[in-house]
Amino acid sequence: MLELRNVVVRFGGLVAVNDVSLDVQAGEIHALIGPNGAGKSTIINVVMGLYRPTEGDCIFQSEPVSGQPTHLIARRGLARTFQNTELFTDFTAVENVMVGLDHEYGYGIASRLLGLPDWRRKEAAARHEALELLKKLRIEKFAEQKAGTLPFGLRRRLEIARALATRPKLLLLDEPAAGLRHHEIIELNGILEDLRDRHGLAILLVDHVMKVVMAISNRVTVLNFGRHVATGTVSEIKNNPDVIAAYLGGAAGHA
Amino acid sequence: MVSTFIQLLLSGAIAGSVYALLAIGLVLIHNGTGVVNFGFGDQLMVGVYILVFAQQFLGLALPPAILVAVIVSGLLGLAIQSLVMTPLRNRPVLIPIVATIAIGAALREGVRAFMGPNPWPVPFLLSTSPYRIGGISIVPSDLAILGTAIVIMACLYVFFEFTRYGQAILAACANPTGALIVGIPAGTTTTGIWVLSSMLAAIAGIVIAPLTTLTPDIGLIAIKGFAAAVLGGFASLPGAVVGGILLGIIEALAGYYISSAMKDIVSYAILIGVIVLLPSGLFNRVSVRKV
Amino acid sequence: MWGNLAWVLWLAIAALAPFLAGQYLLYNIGIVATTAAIVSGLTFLSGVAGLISIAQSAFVAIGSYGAVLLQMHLGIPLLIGIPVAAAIAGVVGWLLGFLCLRLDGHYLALVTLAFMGIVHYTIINLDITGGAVGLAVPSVTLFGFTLDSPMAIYVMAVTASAITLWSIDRLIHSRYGRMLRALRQSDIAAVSLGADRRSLRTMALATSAVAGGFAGGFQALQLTYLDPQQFTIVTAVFYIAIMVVGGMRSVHGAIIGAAIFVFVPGFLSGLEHYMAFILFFFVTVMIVVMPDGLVSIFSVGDRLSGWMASRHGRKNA
Repeated sequence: MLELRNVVVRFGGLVAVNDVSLDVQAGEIHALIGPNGAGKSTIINVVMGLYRPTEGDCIFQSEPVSGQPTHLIARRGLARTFQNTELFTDFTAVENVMVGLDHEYGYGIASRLLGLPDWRRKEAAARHEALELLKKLRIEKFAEQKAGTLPFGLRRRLEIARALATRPKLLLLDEPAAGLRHHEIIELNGILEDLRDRHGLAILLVDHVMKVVMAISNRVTVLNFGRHVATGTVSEIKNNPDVIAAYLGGAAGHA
Repeated sequence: MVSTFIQLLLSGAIAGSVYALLAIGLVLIHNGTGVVNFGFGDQLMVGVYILVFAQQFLGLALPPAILVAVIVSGLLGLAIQSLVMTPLRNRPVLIPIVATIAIGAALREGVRAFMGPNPWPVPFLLSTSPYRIGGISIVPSDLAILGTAIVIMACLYVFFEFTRYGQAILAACANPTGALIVGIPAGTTTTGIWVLSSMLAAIAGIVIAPLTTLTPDIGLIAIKGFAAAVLGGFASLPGAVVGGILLGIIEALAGYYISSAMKDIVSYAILIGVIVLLPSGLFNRVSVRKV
Repeated sequence: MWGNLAWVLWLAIAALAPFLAGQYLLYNIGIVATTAAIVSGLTFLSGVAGLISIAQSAFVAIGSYGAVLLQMHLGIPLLIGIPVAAAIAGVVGWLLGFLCLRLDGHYLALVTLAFMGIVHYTIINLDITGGAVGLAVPSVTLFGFTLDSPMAIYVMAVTASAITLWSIDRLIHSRYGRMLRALRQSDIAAVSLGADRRSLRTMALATSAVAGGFAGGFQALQLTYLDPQQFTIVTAVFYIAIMVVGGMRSVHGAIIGAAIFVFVPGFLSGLEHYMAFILFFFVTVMIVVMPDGLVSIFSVGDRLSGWMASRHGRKNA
């Protein structure tokens, strides 16, 4: 579904991603792990079109991604969350999700100015679906609360709900488990597995928290210093000597 | 024909050297603090009014009057920076920019109210009768302008290249976050940037003023500074200088070969044209937007 | 809640004024209405979309001169010409946006500054616009009646202003307002959710232009004369000041700001000479101390919860 081929990303003198190839298949949770600075977030930014790869290609559902503006990439079925949540802090939780639903429930200027049934219907439907998404992430209680006032763990879930609003086929999660407490991690695992099994979403999961990665991933790719180290199932990765060396030999950083 | 062309290049470059000063002032504040100072022209205007005030009401001779104007202008910049810009530094950048618009308008209307809307005379520093050298006219006051501009730019060069404070300011302009990380205190560099920029406004104004009538609206000339800065890419100080001189030359050529009415509109047209067609100006490269 | 009350208040004032106010006051109320409508366009662009335009007077000029010239040279009645000229202003605004809104917001500020200068320059130098002398605004004729009494002009101007203000308010409370505010809070997030940044911002600029052109055309009827000195960078800055003082986020702010700028100078007689300076000084102080304008007095509750939230370390928009 998603394929990165020999992607290189250079920022001036710094090589953040060095000849990385990986793929995410439909219906799988593919984790991307590696010590800090390994280039993992950069990959998400490349896929979403925020950076252009210096070399290499990024292909989603057989169509190239590189060079397209981010909003068009998003409309093709890719959605993401952010390492430092980028919520609309002045908006309520519902409003945050409704931003994601805008494309689905769009109406025109005339419709709004003339008060036509169309805009009323679509606003109501959008709001309804937004509440459903909040329910799915089990945060519907906070629907009318300003996103900026939400506790940390719930913010991350709100971001996921918002990302789901765009009806993505593939979800890119940037450290969704960081800072979560144990029971929140269990809940998160349940939510992600549910998204994969019942809703057929593919997920590229960047994280350090092994309680998530090892528990739910179909496959894992390990990066170190922007380079690809290994790809395989959880047990293959656990026993891979290169992976072990990358973690122990370089900077540490896992739960 | 050739001598006319060279004449135009020369007078264009001379005017352009002043535009370069304006552009430097604008680029300093923009690169160092992210704010486009729309009140810059009005600061220029205030600088000239202070000069006139010092001469007419305090009875100072020209050199000390100029000194007073430049210093007071710097202090005004300090006041603006510390009283308005600093409290606003964490707000979205729209807000400080609107603040500079308001400050500029307050200065303009304040001067209009306290000093009257009618033009004030500003004496010429040097003679305006031209010398002819090899078919080209040179006016002493023009040479004074060019000379002043060159001297100021040389001083700036020395300041930026050879003093620690100057280097700190350059660093803050090139990469504000990087400068912070390296330990350069943002407050001090921002203060220095505003004071320096404000003094440049006064100097540029004093140089230009004898050539036009002094009214509270003279600050509109700053638009040439914006055009020059954009032409140079808003990227660097040398770029600002080149942009300024280039603008001056384009203006002079357009004024002669197209129409003298065109001269006024050249800055506006370049401003829009460069932003729309070549937003990175001639020297900058629009960088990758990062998350 | 406050918003609805405010609408009732404005409508009451507008409706009762013809019966209770003398000619001078009636005229000023009408000016407040059209000025507020002009500024409301700016409110949508700056307060909601977060972009700066120093060209609102240029769009007002396009609406005013456009309508007058359409009548003078093509015989198009003013009441039709004004909307047409407003549409032209909208197209121009759209074009400006299309050309430069892929860039950062402060480039728009510069482009609108230059555009304003070009429009002013054009007005002064073309014969057809009357040059530096300006143009007289013809009277409106409808079905053979000449509607040039102060009352008729008041009714037309206030009606047009009401339509404009109400439309902008509707747009603010629509998906357009939502998406623009989202873009302002985190444009990376909004774009990653599929928001077409350029298209939305261009729409905002075009909307502000149409509002300026439309309300401006009706203000021309009130002023009865088009003087090029009304259409300068200085007046564009006045509009920004009105928006800031009243409150950038809502149409009610534009109304309050316009009322202050029109009526306060009358109260401080003796200080007329210093009025403009006092106002801009006040604007500067307001930006630092009360950035959401006077209207924010009515949302103390909101701000309190926002202040409390910020103590828990959230990022402010």
